[in-house]
Amino acid sequence: MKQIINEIWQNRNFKLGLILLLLVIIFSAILPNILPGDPNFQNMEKCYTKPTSQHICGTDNLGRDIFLRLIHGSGLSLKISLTTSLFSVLIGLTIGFISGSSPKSIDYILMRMTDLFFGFPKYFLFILVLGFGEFSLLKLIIVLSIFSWMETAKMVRSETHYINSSLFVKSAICQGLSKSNLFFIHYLPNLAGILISSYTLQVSTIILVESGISFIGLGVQSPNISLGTILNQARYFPYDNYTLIIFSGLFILLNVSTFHFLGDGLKATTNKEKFQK
Amino acid sequence: MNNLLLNVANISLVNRNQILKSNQSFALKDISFSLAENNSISLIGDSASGKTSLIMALLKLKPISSGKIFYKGKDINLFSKTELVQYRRNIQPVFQNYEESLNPLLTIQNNLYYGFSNRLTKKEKLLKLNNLVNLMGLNNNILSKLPFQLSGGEKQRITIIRALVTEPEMIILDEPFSSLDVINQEKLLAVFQQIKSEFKVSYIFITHKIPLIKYFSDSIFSINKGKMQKLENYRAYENLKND
Amino acid sequence: MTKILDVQNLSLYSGNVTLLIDISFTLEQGQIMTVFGPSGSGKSLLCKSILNLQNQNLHKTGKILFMNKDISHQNNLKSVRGKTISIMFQSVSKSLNPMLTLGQHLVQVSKRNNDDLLMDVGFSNPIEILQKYPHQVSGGELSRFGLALALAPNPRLLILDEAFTSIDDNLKTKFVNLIKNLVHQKQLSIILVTHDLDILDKLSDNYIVMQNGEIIETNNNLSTSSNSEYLKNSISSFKRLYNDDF
Repeated sequence: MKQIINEIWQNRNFKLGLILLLLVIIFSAILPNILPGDPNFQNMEKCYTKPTSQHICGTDNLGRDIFLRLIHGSGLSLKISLTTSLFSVLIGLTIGFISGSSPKSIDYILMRMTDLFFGFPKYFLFILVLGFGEFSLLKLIIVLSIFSWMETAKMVRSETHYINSSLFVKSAICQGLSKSNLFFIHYLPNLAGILISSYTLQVSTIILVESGISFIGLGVQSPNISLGTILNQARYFPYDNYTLIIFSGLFILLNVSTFHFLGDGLKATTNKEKFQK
Repeated sequence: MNNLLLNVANISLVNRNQILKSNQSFALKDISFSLAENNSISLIGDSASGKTSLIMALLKLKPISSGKIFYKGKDINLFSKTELVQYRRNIQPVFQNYEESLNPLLTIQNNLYYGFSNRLTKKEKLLKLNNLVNLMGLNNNILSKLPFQLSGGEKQRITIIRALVTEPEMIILDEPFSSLDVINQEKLLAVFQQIKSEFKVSYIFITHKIPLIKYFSDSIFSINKGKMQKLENYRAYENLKND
Repeated sequence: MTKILDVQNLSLYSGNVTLLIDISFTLEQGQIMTVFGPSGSGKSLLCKSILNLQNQNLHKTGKILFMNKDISHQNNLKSVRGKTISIMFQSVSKSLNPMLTLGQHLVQVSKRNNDDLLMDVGFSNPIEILQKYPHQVSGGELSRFGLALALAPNPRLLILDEAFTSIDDNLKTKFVNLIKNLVHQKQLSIILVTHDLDILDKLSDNYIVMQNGEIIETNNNLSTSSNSEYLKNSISSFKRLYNDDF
């Protein structure tokens, strides 16, 4: 165990990701809870003010403090992405593992189904599901998860096939290990690397997708704030609201890169060859 | 006459992707042999002989296309789930490729622990495990290590311990001596003989190094290109060699 | 007799740990030298170090002269590796690219027709075997092909790193005879790493015994008996184990 942690620690990408993660945690998790003030508080007397000591990033068209909006929005974007990715990895693990351990026919059907989801015009479905009826975070998370599990499934499936052919699994079957014991003791540890790196990379993707959906107005709705909705506002008054565009873009960049670096670092170090030296 | 444990009757195994072709090639063709209690048999065969297919067929990890395998008189193909588990726990393999025989992410203890019978308490399992480790001449601290920290010889001995965990009646030894130097071959042979007398195990010894066969010679067979032949004694192999 | 290989004080370090300690030996043309020793004694490491194939994080010191040319460091090795010095490892399958046919592998080391060589190693139909991929061929056939691959460029020095360990007795005898002939005909020099006493007996002109990274015995005269514990113990184990056969 210590060896693995050591290796991960050495990876440059991961270290960079950790530093950025620190920033992300400060901005998205800590500050929203300690800074006073309501991000939705409107003060028409103070619209469009440039950055001041009271409002670090200035105010928007409705007099709301931009900085407060950004950190709350970032926090919500992250919460959504972290949850969605969790669901998506769980779905991918289930389908991938079932596919990998099933006879050829079922494997084939599941993989073709995966391909279907890959090719599906997901924004069409987003409009259908999110464009009508009441908005709920849960609906958003579910809809996002439904279209992001496929890559994980494919990776889990091929890794499962590989583990199936390993001698230690064959020996375990010969010892009469139950199916659940086999899964938790032998398969899961060997899949863990893929799952963790898949998860973190997925988070960075979902942040972008969610921002995109919220940007076009289908995602998070007021009074909730996400980075996408902030960006949405910014398009109407690009010259007056330049801080809005720049800073919301920067926040998205920060969040996405953090998880991208973390995921990349993890992916590189959880390569199984490490254990066969 | 000892009780018959295993009776293999005319089994054949067609190569996987050719089941529908008319000109099939066989991994195993018409193989028959039997194994009695406390006996040892040798199968002389190299890597192309079909020995891997035979091992997989005996463990019921690969289906046979014809013929039957009987364990204590019963057809293993007709076994219920519990009977199959019971059978498999009684015929344990020690694979030739010990490098890849252990789960690289689990400690040695975790690689071995879960094979013990559920009737034992945790204490009993750990006690038996430690006894087996000592039997193989290893230090108990090896249990907390990961496979990559072990030398080749240590890994090989761990795979032998794993075969003993289920207290099997039969052990399939696939080329256990090949990568060892002569001094360790002698030591390992002594361990196998000790295991046989203490635990009353029958061995199916598969090798292509002829001289060691005399230590496992209640019956001797040669397997070549999927076909098997019974031999009088291991010297008879000399005559077959030039095939 | 010309000196083919002259290894002088070769040492290999990994940080503070010494993996190879002051290895020195010479090999004459047309000689077969066996490197004998238990696993972990550094035999394979020695072979790789001669061709600079060891892990590049390791620090190498000493001098290696091949036909009087200094091949201790990378620059001169390109002209030598796979051409005048060939190496064959225990596991041939791991040395081959699964995406290339055997023929495509062979052509990379030797452009001329090698049918004779392939028949010498025991392939009755060279054209057929060259069209196959590594996974389509049996273990014994792979070993035979590995030997052909090592011999195809017509090397002056052949390093066999436990190449005989995983082949069956039948094939082993064929290889031993083949190598004896080649050494005789072409004055090929061989470094043979093994822990098989039978091979030591049948093939060697001289041998070195390694243990814990150093040479503990050098013997150029096989009629005199060994003075290293390891070899003596091996011989007695061998006699007890294989008694009435050899």
